[in-house]
Amino acid sequence: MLNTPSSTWNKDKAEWRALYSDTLPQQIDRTILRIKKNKKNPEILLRHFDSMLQLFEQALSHPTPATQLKLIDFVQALHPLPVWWGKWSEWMRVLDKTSFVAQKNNKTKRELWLYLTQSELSITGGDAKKALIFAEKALHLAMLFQNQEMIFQAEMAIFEAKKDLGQIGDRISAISALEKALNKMRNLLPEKASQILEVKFLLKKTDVLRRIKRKEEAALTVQKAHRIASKNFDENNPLLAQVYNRRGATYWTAEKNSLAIADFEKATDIFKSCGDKTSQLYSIGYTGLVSWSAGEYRKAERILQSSINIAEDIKALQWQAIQIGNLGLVYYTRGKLSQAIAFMKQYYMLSDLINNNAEKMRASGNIGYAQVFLGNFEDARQRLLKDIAFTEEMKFDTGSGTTYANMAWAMDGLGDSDSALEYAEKSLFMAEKTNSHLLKIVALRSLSEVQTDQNTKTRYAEEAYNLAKKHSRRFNIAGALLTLAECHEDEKLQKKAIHILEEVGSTAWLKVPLIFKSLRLPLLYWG
Amino acid sequence: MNLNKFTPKLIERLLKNWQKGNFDLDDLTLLGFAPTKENPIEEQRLIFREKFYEHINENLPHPFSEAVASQNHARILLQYEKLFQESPSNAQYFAIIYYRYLGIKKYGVRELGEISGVSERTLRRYILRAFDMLSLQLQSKKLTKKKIFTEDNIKDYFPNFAENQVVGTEETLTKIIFWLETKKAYHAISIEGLGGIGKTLIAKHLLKDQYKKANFENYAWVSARQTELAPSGEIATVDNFANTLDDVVARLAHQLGQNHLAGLSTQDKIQGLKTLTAEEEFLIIIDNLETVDDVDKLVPELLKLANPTKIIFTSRKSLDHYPDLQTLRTPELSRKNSQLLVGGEMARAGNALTLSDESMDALYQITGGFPLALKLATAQFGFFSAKDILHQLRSGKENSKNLYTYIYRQAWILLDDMAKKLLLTMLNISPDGEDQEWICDIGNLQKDDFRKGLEKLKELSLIEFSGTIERPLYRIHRLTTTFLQTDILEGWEDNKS
Repeated sequence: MLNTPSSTWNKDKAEWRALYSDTLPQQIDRTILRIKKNKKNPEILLRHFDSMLQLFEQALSHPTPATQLKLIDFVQALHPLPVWWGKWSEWMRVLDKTSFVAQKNNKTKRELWLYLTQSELSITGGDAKKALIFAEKALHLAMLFQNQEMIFQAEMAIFEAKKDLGQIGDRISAISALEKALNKMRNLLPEKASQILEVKFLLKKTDVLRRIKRKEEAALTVQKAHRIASKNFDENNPLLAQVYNRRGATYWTAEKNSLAIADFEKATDIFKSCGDKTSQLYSIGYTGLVSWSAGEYRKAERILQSSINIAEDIKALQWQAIQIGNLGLVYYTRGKLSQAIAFMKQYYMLSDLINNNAEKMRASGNIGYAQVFLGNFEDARQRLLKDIAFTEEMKFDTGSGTTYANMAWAMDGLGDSDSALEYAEKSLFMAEKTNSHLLKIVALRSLSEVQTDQNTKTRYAEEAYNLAKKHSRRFNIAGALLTLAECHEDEKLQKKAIHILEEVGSTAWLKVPLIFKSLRLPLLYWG
Repeated sequence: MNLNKFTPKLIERLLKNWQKGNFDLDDLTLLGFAPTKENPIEEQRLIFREKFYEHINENLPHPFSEAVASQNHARILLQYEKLFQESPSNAQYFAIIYYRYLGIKKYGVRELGEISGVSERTLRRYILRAFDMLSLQLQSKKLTKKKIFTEDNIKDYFPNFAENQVVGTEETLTKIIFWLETKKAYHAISIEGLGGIGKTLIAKHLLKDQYKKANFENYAWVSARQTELAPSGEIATVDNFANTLDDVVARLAHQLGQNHLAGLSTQDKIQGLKTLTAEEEFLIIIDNLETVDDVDKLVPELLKLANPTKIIFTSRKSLDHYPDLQTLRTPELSRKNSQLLVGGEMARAGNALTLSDESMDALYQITGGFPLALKLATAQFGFFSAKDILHQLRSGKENSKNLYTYIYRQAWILLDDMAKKLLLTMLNISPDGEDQEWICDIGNLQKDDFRKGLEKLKELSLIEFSGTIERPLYRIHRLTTTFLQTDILEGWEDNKS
């Protein structure tokens, strides 16, 4: 046996090659069975994910198309678990390779599913350009098959991608067109499929309405989604959790913070129960954000730090980026300036890495705000200019308004009082246009500090103070008080401001470099 | 921070500039806060300002520091006045510094003197003494050493290894241990050599040795993972380098208990770790730097953490082009140590036979003293005569692509069908290993078959073990994978016979 002739050796190898080739499809089948058996206990499957990927890579080279096609079954069986586990990039690569297999073997229906899935994941990953490409491919295939449900799904995906790219001028018309399409085909679908589609559509409609500040309609829309979902879906259905997330966000926009937090917590519980770690940390992050907007900065810091730890642990880059940005804002609000800037820069870098342009712009804008307080006015000006261009293009009016207000201080720092005044007034105009009292507070505070006339300065500061007090915006109350303290040379007012800062955990602002003539607090929409 | 540079004059200058934070570039550079590309001067000023405040804050006496934290002016004033009702103390000097330079309200010397109940002249003297005190304090600042590792979390990070496999490494170990234990010697060492020469084993032994001796404040072990093993068996280049460096740095931060760095950029993490490793001596081992691209980007970043911390790399590629790094080529085993290893392996396999000197000479000459080759070849003794094995090895070495290929072929021939089936199943599992249940399920193996196959693979040193007692994992060496992919299964995807 030792002196094995090469013919025997080659024969032996050939036999084992054949055996390997034959057993590979069986291994895929058993893997799929195992996935289906354990899908409700994703933790059990997670520890074998690397092995599944290894099997997948080996099977890609299999000579038989039938075996390769099993990989599509494998992907469909396992999806969306890898995304829940934070294995977003690995899974996108798998989907990409599987699409190629489907395409090569003319499996058009499956190719369609793959494109839709890739589009959805690209949106999650913040790459709207890619999402649009996949969605358009999906639409093309869906039209070939005249599959109404898939056509609708593809159209929704296209809408989502174009919305994120800022390519939809009139979102209301676009969403109405989708609604008409849904109504047309509702009766052609099985009931369950129709309900799922309707809930998904309503969530998108909620997002649109919320963004353009049609709060009441947004609330009604999401309540409708909730009614359908809670009546017809299992209590631990991830789509129901998404409804809670959106409803929470809607409550938050309406400043109903305790209702918002209750919904985010419900969403977190559902995601936790089904093993969706990434969505879990997303809703945890939202809870942190709400706490921040409610002035509970210490709590917000703790919550966001814990969600970042989870995100880093599971390497969920997309979610990690956003939570890092939110924590940066919290640090900024607390006056922990160097930490704020470090986190904002990391937010920018990560957003750039994952091609999420919207978040990248947001990050850059936030850095711009912070740079004002370092006295780096020129850098602030350049960043805020870009931010303004972005928010104006996307018609994020309150975003534009807040940036105008901050820009006013940057210009003031550069010695350009005329431009400073112009921006501050623009901010006030935007506040009135959007009927946003939160923006008005910020605008008034901005205006007061760029006045040369002391009386006008005092008047604006008093108006800001009264409005902030009316709406319990403690941080901005403190900001206005500090301005008034300077105007009236009244130490008592300063003490009052300091007391508020102590309550909210932002006394670090009292120790930041004195860039301006007197102590100032930043202009924060949710302050 | 470079604490030795804190002279009283410098402190005075820094305090005067503290309010606006406009520290001189020269001062910042002197203190180790020179601007960088990532942190321009404004941010370095801010960072230094916050750290400086922190240092001073730590020296404030307790009730006063609490009042300062509250930022309640009345409280602060009350505590300050109370302080000056007591006899002169260092605590008073620091309180003066706070009031004079760091508080929101600025006090002139006269005013402050009045509050303190001393003359202006006396107050000025106190201020100068405060500068001296702060200067001394900062220069001799000792950090509390905290033990981060507990026995529990060590096993989570530290690799297992069989001590009886450590043969023939004494000289190498002694050399490296000497370097590690000598303060002024090298702070970064690279253990280098081909696959299967024993680099990782040496590193594991070093870690255990140093840990037992408690020579370092703390220890970290990170395997820089390869992410793709191409079908050819070659290590594919990592697409996104940032993932690898970020992954290594994130794991280091986690192991060293620096969870507050989570979320920060890799550079900021490195900066945070640098502060830590500059003040405490750690032993950091980075195992498995295999891909050239990674090495050339990763190593310079990690070298920033060295001194006084020691860093050990293991790598197949040489790192000798880094000036701050001492390389050590892992030598092949000597004839004597090769014999020891062979004897150990045969004993482990329950083989009571011994090899004659002549056979041992031949084996040594063929394998070149490579531990893995010796292990694999030795495993085959007992199945055939030594003479035959050696003859085949000799001709195999001449005719085959390389020695390993031939040894593996011989091992393959010695396997029964069940073991071969198991081995091929292992190709389709994670390179980090899998548990028995998964392997059996996916490979459609009964438990008995698995055990029989495992025994055979173990006999021929073709299987490796990891995981825990509760959940042992099984895996194969990368060279074994390469052999299976490039030899046994060569061309399988084209259906070639």
